[in-house]
Amino acid sequence: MTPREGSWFAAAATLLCLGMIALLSWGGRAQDDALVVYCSHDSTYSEEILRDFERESGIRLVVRFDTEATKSIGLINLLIAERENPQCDVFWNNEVLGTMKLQKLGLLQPYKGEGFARIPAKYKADDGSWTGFAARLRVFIVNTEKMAATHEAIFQRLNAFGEDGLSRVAMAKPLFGTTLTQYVALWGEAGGEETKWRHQRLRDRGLLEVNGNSVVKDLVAVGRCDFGWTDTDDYFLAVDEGQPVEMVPVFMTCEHAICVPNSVSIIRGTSRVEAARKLVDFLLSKQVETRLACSPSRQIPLGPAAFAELPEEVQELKLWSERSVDLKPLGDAHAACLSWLQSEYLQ
Amino acid sequence: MSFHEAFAWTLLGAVAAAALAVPMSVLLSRLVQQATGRSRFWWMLFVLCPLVAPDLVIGYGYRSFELSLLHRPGLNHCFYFVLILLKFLPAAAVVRICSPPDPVSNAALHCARLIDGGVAAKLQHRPLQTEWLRHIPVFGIVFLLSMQEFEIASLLQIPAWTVHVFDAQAAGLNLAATFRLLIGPVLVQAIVLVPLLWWGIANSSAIVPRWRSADCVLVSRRWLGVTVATLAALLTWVAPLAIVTRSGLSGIGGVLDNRVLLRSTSFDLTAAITLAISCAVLSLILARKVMLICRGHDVTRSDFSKAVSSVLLLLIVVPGLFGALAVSIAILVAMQHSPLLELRTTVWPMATALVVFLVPRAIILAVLLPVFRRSESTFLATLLGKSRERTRLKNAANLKWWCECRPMFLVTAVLFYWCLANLTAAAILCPPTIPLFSFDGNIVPLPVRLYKFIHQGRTAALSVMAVLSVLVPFMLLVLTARIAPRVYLRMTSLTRQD
Repeated sequence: MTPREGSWFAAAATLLCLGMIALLSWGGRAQDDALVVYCSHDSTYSEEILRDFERESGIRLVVRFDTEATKSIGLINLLIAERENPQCDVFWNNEVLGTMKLQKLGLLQPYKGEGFARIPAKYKADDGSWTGFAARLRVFIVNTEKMAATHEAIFQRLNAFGEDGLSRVAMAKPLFGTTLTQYVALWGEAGGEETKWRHQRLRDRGLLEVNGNSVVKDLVAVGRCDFGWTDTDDYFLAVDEGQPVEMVPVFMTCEHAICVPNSVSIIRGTSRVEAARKLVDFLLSKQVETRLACSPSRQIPLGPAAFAELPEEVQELKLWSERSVDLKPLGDAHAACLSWLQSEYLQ
Repeated sequence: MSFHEAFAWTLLGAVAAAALAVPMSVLLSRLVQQATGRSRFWWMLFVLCPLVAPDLVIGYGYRSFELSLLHRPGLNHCFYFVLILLKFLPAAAVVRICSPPDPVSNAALHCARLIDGGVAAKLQHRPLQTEWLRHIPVFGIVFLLSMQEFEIASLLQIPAWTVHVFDAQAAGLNLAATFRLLIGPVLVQAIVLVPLLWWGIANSSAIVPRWRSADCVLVSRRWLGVTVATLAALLTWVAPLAIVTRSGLSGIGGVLDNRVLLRSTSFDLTAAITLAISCAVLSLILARKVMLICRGHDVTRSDFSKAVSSVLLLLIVVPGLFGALAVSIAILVAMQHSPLLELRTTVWPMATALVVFLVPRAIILAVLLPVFRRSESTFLATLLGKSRERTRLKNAANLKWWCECRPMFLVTAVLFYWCLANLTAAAILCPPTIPLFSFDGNIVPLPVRLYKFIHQGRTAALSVMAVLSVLVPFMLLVLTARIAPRVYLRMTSLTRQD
């Protein structure tokens, strides 16, 4: 190949590559009618539900899930960054504290439809900015070959003395997800100083802090740890794998469980209000809640559901969830707790 | 562990890995340098394969093993250290293969000793100095790669500074604070980078692969080299892939039944492959341009124009040497400002980060291109190409493919794999949706989805997807390698007929 031929070839290849990147960037922009959904619920379960909505309603969806890197907090930051020029119409969050932050910033558009009406007041914003549905519980996952799965046995271990007394107990770093919600609930109930003290006490005694609830589940399932904090969807993964585990609900001092619902909200400024409302009502329907309850993650329906239709495990969870911590007043605690945790872990 | 502690541990590990790589890389480089003919290609493949081992598969493969080490963080660190040392050792070997030779040969030194004591005394100190200088790039390249490692550290729960910064970004720490965290590591890397760049620029025209005769190394050293290379290939490729494939066999049925998962996986893979091909080719073109300018081969331009291009192109090369994490966060910060804000929802930021990250690697690979070339064959191809006989023209085109295009294809394939497996840039800069072929679903590059699934612990489905993420691109490359020569032959013969 002569230098001149080489230059031509390089120019043609450059143009072709830039064209391919342009295709990936703007290739499908013609679908302006599609409803844009940001979703932080596990795509394995949520994608089928969203596709069913497409089929039933004829409304096209463009779905953006969170990534492990961005987690749900990444989508929340994205929504805040896009506040002047919203790209998203409906936000399906797998927790509520982040959604409450968006509500406080005035980024959500209230809607009280038929779905809103069937969810108890504790799990929805008074003004209809967001509505909770299909929840998870914070639980202790216990390896039954190592210890008894009871509150007494767990607290005996937690109160045991010794510097490495908790070296066989695991918890996810509380920067994200349901572990963060648990800390915020504690912050709201016991105050910041008490939360910091308890946290330090756990760390001083050798608590194993890992990257995520699934690692806690794995450690307990294979017997590397005796028990740990996780949530119900991870626990049920271990059960389905046939591991020797049992769960014990995490109760706050007032004997309230920590119930973390999904939440759905419409983003202020959307031009596809009607389609967004249809999707919100669909997600808040009994049909979707029952479907999520029957999925491998066994989400707890918050609205009225035919008790008998629910799997046996979910029936038990539903009873626990009925006396759960009210997360709605915890907006300020969330901000303060997250700020403290960031200074603890990220500086 | 605080950021400063994590940084100190990473720094210590990187220095140790780089220091060990200096003597160990000699063993590996000799294996390639002493090989002749076709065997050189296979030795090269054997020695360098750990460099392209997909980090996600390594991390996922050793996940269960790593859980057993969580209570022994010291052992966990040691295991991680061995993995990164073996993974990056081939890079040190490449640098050693391409380093300029010592200006004073052993024969010259011997002669000097024989004739005059004064000259000999002068020369005796010189080899020592030059030998030390020759170690700088070997040390530097392994130090930089070890400092920048993120994917394996994250999956093996190693508190590296990269994991800390990535988590800070994920936890919503504001960008300015995240950027501040980067300053220390970037400065430390710059200290190593400056002599490395100085060495590269000073020797740019002399950096070419060099071969040695087979009789200059002890057999025991050769076997030690083979053992190290085998261990590296086993730990980075064979063991993790075997573990993942084994756990994936039980999950094939489940994945095949789940049409949504299959559909999204195939779209994710298509998007990742399309992006990886584009970025690999673009980075190789840029790398060749940089090399042409550095070596002064671009005769069509004025000196001023060359100087301006050199500065511009160096600006393209240097950021990539700081690693994908630093590049991605810098681009993310840049995207927050109005002229670039519009591009945030496209793949342009991600593609830019990948190209910037790949350019320095492409330069190293482009330097290696002569490994596969033989001047006699190229000369013969040129002679045959001047013939008017059809069979000879066909043979000329065939030879040209083997001498010129095939090496380029191999280099592009390696860049393609690096791009495909890069999680950092994809995870930080992935746009809300990739509207591929008007598909409305959520398309993300496959590594991002895999990383998420690894953290969610969906083992059976994940194993199948992880194997697919390695096998499908590999099959694609094999297929292209089969088809491309025929297309090239056909195109060349058409051109000749015209």
